[in-house]
Amino acid sequence: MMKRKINLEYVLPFGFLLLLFIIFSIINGKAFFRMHNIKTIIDTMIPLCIGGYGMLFVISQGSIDMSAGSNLAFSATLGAILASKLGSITILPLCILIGAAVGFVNGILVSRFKVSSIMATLAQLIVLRSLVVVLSKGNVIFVHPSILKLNRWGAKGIIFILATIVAIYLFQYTKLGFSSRSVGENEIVCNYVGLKTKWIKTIAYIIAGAFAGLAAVLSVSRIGGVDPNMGQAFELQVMLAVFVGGVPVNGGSKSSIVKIIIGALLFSILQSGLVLSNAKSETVELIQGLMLIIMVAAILKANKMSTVKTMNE
Amino acid sequence: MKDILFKVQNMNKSFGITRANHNVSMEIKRGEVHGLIGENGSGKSTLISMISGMAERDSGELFLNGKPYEPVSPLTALESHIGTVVQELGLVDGLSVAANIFLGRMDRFKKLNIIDNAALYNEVEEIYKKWNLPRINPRTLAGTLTVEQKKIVELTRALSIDPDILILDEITAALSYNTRKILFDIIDELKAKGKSILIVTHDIEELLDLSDEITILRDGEKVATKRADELTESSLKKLMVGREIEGDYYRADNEDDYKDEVVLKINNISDGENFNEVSIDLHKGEIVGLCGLSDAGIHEVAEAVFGVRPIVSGEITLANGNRKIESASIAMAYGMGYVPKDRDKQALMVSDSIENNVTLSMLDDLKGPLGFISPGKITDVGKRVIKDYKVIAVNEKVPLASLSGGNRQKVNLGRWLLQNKDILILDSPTRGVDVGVKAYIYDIMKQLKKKGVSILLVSDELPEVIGLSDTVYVFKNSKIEKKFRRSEELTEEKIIEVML
Repeated sequence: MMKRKINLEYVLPFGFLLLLFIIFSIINGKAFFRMHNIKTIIDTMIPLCIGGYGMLFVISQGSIDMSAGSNLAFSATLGAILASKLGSITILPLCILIGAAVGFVNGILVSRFKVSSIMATLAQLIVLRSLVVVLSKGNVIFVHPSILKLNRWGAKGIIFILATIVAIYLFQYTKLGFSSRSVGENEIVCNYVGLKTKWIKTIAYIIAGAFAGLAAVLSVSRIGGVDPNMGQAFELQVMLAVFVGGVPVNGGSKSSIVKIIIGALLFSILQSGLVLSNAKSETVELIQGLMLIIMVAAILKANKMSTVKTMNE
Repeated sequence: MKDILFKVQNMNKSFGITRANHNVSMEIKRGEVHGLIGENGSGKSTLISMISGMAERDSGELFLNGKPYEPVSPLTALESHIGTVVQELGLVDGLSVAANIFLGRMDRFKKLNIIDNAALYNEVEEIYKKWNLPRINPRTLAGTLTVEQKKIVELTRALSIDPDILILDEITAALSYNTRKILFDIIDELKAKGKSILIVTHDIEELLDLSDEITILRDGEKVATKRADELTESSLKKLMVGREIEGDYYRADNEDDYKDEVVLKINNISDGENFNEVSIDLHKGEIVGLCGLSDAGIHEVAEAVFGVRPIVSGEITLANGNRKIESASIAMAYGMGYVPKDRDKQALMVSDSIENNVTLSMLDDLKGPLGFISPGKITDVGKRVIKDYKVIAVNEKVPLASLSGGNRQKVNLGRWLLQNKDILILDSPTRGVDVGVKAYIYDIMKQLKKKGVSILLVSDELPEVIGLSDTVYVFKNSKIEKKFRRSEELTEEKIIEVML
């Protein structure tokens, strides 16, 4: 009946990864393997992964969250202001909670009021960014130096690993994750088997918001304060990582956390490799864009092939 | 001897290692209805998609009126006056009914490069009138239509070209009794005009009734072409399957037989639109059949009973825990399962795997501590459905899209059967499946009844309703018109009389 073929969407990201690895180790030689470069790669990768984990719940359902970057800035700003009164350690839970609350609003807009996800979150992108400027009065807010401790490798590593474990568990091994992927496959079917799809959609946005909040904490600890411009285009970079990793644009059961990690790794290696070889930033963006196009086209082609196969009835 | 209008010669088509068509030849005579039958996966749809220009053939030749006919796209087929209604729904959801009917052929309505919508809508209304088709507003978006309405739109499209050959792939299964009547009149009219019809259906009785000649396919090869009057139901089944099939797959007893215990009480429910004041008691071990014309509301009642369609008055109560059904999750938690009418849209995630589709209906049962759903359990339920319900599939990871309609339906049913539900709502459970699977599903229903499972059977096929139900409710104008008990005297005629 069906012949098993090499699955492009799984193989291609690995292929890219290998290719980049080879290219950059040739071009940059030892510099590519130096501790400093590896740290840079991981440093770029962590926020992409964390943003991507949350975004995956939304994307797997066939929706999108354009507000991640603004949400990051908003939860960082409000979190930093509140933490300066409540004690600096509270910035971690505060940012996550604020992010989740923003996500909740997104979720309600999309699930209850049936606003298309791109519109709702695009509006949020603008609204939140302007709130950031209002809250910070357009100035950089400096945080207590103790927050910088979160940027140490130990703390950052633990946060990253914990976030990854939580994300993998929730997305791959629970009803929530399964339902999210199923909503992306066919929302009507989910309604017919008694899943509360509105609620599932709302929760996905809450999780996306919470992870954006977590990314905000890491961002703050890295730069030591809140810049009203922080997180700009963050959502685009996250989406790039998600889709380059092979997550289908329409979501569904082929979405997975591992793909995000690969996508983020690809993105980070590419960035660091090009910087090391003194490429201009336009070149970096050009190559990233091309990679995305190739990846998305390849996945589409792979899916098309499988629909042709279905005609053999 | 009537002359030959269309000729198929040595058609071949393979998908990978599967030979969907192998040296298939067939001749369609002018002014005749040619039936095409075979089990799921025997290559009927493949043949039709090659004729209608939707799929390329590997080799073989086609002749129309003695001249070679080369369909490169569905448009060539239309231009050659070959109109097709495909099995899978072939409409663009986001376009209006009229735009769907004239898709790719809009140029004739262009005035100064702008589509003259008024003329377009007019033309559609004309076609409805000409063929006496039920009117579907040409302005409506196709996506908002029911399955039956979509089929009618596709039929309208096929008729809009004044076809010399009308190809109908599994259309009657989606039509209600009254629309079928209209279709049969159209077929008669076409025949009288010397046009031909190629019809595919799983309904053997209907096929024998309609066709002049029948071609039987098995495993992609032609078994025979015979005059319909030389065939009987059993001889035809034998040719299709290649072995003898039991003639009677309905129940053998002629009396209603169930326990007194009411397991589901439907009390005076209305949804304010499709059904009104419906009351039904479902007893333990009872099969209750619902039938009616297309707008009678039977499918909507089924949806409401499972809690996926809101009701405005009345209530539905489960004896188990005396629970009111307010949502599908309550219905499921208290032992109900539901097989909706539109298998590929409402029931199954077609591009997802068998195991995921099974898992989807039992997520709460598979949850372990901390909500953990192990991949092992998912694979396990997938394997069990394949094994217990004889699904023909490579393994539990393949997408449902790679299975035939009958096997998809086995997965659809199997996922509820696996959970030992007490009450099953089956809406058109044998729609679009072949005799083998049909017999298998009936057999399962009989076994379930014996075990004390109660079944609400909603169906447009009267023989099935009569053949299996203990109690039959006939709907008319959104209400229950009459209730019949199972008896020898209950015939299709009696039900039809009430329905109309």
